[in-house]
Amino acid sequence: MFFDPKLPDKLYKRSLFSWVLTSNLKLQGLLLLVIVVTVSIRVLPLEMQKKIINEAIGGQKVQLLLLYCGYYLLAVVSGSALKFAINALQARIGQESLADMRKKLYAHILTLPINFFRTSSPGMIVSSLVTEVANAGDFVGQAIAVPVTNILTLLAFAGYLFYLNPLLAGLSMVLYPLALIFVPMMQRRSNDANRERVDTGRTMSTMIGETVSGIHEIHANASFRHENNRFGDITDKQYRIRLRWTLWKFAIKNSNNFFQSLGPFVLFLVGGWLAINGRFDLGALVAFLSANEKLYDPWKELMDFYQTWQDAKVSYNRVMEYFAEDCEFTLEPAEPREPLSLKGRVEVKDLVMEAQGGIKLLKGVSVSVEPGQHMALVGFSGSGKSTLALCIAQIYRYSNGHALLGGHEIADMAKSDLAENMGFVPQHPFIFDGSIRQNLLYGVNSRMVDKGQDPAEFEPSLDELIEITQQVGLFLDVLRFGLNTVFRKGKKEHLVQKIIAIREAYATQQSEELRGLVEFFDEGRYLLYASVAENLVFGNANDEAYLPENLPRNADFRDFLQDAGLMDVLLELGKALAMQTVDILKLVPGADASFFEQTPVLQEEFEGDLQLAEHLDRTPISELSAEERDRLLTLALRFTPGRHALVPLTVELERKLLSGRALFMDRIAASAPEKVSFYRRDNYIHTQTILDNILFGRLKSESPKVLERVNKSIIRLLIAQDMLERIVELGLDFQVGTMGDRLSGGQRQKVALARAFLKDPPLLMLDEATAALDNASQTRIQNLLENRWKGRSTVIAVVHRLDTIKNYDIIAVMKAGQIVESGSYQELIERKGMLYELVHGPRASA
Amino acid sequence: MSSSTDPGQAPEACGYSDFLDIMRGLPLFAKVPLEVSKVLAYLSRLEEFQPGDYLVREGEHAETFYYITCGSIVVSRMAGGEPVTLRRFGAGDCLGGLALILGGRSLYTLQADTRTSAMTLGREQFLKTVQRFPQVEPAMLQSLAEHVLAWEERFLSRHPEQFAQFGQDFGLTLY
Repeated sequence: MFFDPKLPDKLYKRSLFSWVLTSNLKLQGLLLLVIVVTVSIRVLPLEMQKKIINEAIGGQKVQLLLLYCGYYLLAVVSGSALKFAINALQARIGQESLADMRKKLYAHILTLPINFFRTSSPGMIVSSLVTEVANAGDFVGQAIAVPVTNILTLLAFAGYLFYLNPLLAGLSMVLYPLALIFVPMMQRRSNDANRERVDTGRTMSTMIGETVSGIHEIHANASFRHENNRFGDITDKQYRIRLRWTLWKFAIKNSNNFFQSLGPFVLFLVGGWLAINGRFDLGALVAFLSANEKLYDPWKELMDFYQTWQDAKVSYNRVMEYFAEDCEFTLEPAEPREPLSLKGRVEVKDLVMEAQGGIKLLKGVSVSVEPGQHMALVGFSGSGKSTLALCIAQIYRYSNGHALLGGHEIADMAKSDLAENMGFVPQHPFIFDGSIRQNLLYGVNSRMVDKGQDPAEFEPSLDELIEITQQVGLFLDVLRFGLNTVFRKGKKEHLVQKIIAIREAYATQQSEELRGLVEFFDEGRYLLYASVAENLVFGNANDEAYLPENLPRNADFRDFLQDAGLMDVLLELGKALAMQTVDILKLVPGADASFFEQTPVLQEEFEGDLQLAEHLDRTPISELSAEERDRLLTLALRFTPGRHALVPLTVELERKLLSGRALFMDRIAASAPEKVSFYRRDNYIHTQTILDNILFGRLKSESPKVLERVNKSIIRLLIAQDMLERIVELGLDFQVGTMGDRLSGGQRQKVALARAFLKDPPLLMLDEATAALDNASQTRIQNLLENRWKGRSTVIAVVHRLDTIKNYDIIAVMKAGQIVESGSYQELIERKGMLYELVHGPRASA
Repeated sequence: MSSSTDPGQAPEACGYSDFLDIMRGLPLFAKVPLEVSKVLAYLSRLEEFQPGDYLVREGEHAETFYYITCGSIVVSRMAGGEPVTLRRFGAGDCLGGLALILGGRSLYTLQADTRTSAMTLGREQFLKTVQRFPQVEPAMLQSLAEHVLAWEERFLSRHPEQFAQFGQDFGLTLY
């Protein structure tokens, strides 16, 4: 840094140009140096042109010609190389500044008050951060280099022109001042349009953002046309503004060209006349015309730069105006120090919170909670209980009164101090894209980052994570995620071996118990809950052609059926299936898809099969067309006796299919073993989940009852085999999706609870934190709070469901922004006041 | 009727044609036209229960018709906090006809006593079929009414001297 520029203390007060001053000034200096060299090299070819024509060609000296041409070439090559160096330096400076600007702006946005986010949409913030600041970055890269290069070039060429012929030079430049008058006038119009463009662009982003978040509502109301109209209006407006903006830009460019092109007109006229009269040599005129043309490039670049600058200014100012708000709280203490470690004593005194428009949400609330005590805030919705909790959690700023944590005024505390001492679970917790583990560790890790320590070193152990998932009732969910993991081939080979061992144990220990629910894979047994195709292939297809749905068209497979003598049997089976289905369903009016769950015929195929069945009635199979035979084969290969009871699987057919399976295995093993991985006890099936691999069979029913029983038996086995933790560990790596959309509402809330508990804070704030949980899970959390956290952490819970509050030390009942009564459950019920009314209904107290 | 997968023991005795035979033989479905019985039999399934499995619990919604093909079912009802066993159903018995038509709360708990198989028809499947054949419901209603009449007649003849003292609680067929 050459100097330290004075910057305003607020980010949004910084001017666009200040970013040029904070950009990499060393690079900017280097850039300037390169530019000066480049400009001087640029004039050289012009001088060479003159010399080539006048001295070399005119004097007929070949050696001079070669020499001058060599100089010319050298100048052109180094000119290009230097031009690239300039571009590279510009890009580096610009992108660096853009990244810096984005980071600072993002950091600023994070600290903006919650109210800001209520009124601005994510779409708008995204477009500001992603698109609009990009212009400013481009400008910073060009801000020094482009004007300096081009003004210098311009001056150099102009000087050279004056050196050649002052009169002509003066004439050729007489038009430039005109441009300097007209261009800024037009640019102002362009800027106006650009400003409007930025604003409509934001409206558009907001609307798109809304559409994405509200897609359920749109589908439910079929409001496609309505939404299309709304979007159409914005797009049309945007179109008109963009058109206006673009036209002004072109107008500027074209009028520039116009003034530029008028230059040679004057030159030809006057210069030609002078040459004819012998007062000017021809070589000089060519060089002059050339040089005059060269004026065009720097001039054009200057004008382009002018436009970039103006556009960037408009976008930048718009962005900064938009985010011109200040953080309501201190983020970090002024002097770097360890965060405070506080006792969980909360004192609230005469607390007032006034919302915009002078509405008082809290009207002088006073209450205090001793360390380790638990307080429930109850009351009708709108009574201010959530507001009180959010004020204590420093998410809202209170207008008057005091709220103290461990003797410190919460409004004056640094966020980092409060976060160290508080765990907060909101009503609709946010789950970040990533794994469950990452989400659980979110609070703990950010605490470590704040302390400047590497979070990985202080991460809670797997045992702690498992313990916490058990406490909040998330354990089974995580285990299930783990069991649903699919290993790609070559991954976690040691686990694969272990799972195969478990499969073995499972088959021997559980087969008796689960025989009614599961059909285990066994080479010698026919699977009633798998299709004929799956029974024949009896393995996992690694080649698309061997997937069950592709088998009817697989020529090798058809050859096999023919050779194994199965083709005719299967065609007969297909015929029986088609005719039986048609016989049963032909008279059912408007049969929907649910009528086709017990037949291999799909709903959309039924029409065709109606005609086929008629034809089958009259024609022997041997006389059917190839297409009809294909259809019968398809049906037969789909036949799953456990589900399609309409045609029985005869003992004879079962035997034939079983021997067919053995033949197919031999055939594939001999010809193309890589195409199918057979279901063998020692083969891991890489396309299936761990659960499927342990189960190694087919469930006979998908009912939750059955799944529950199978899960239980597998968990018992995993415990016995000491594998439970490994599987849970895999489950912790489950990717939860954007905003945790692969988790249920209850699971999300459990993750948020676990996340807060892991911090082990002196104060736990729960804002209806168990609202999305079922009764059993809610009770579990309630017990956990009493047994583990009472006396250890202060709990302030906003509670909607009154059946969970009996064991809180203090119950504060709120009404219209005030605490109307507080005390233990027993006291308040005996008093027969508000709580009594809330619990027993309004008539009970009357 | 076992689910064992030993070759030669495929459950061919529990397919569509058996269900159709069973259904045709039941009084509840006696008046249902053949083309509808076919659809109902087709939509029926064979379900298996381990000893102790619940078919339905007292107070839950009863949504299924059962025809027991093998095994046995115990019927009980809570009285004074204790389940009281009332009776037992075995192979060839059916229960849940009212559940198909009404779908209300079950007054009894049904629990498998031994390993039991039953042909089952869900209320959802039943309803979507009869909605498509409007003549079925009157036919079944008639069977149901006949059943009620027969039951009251039987009850009256079994307890000729007691019915007077039940007073208001009797005379269902007067409805």
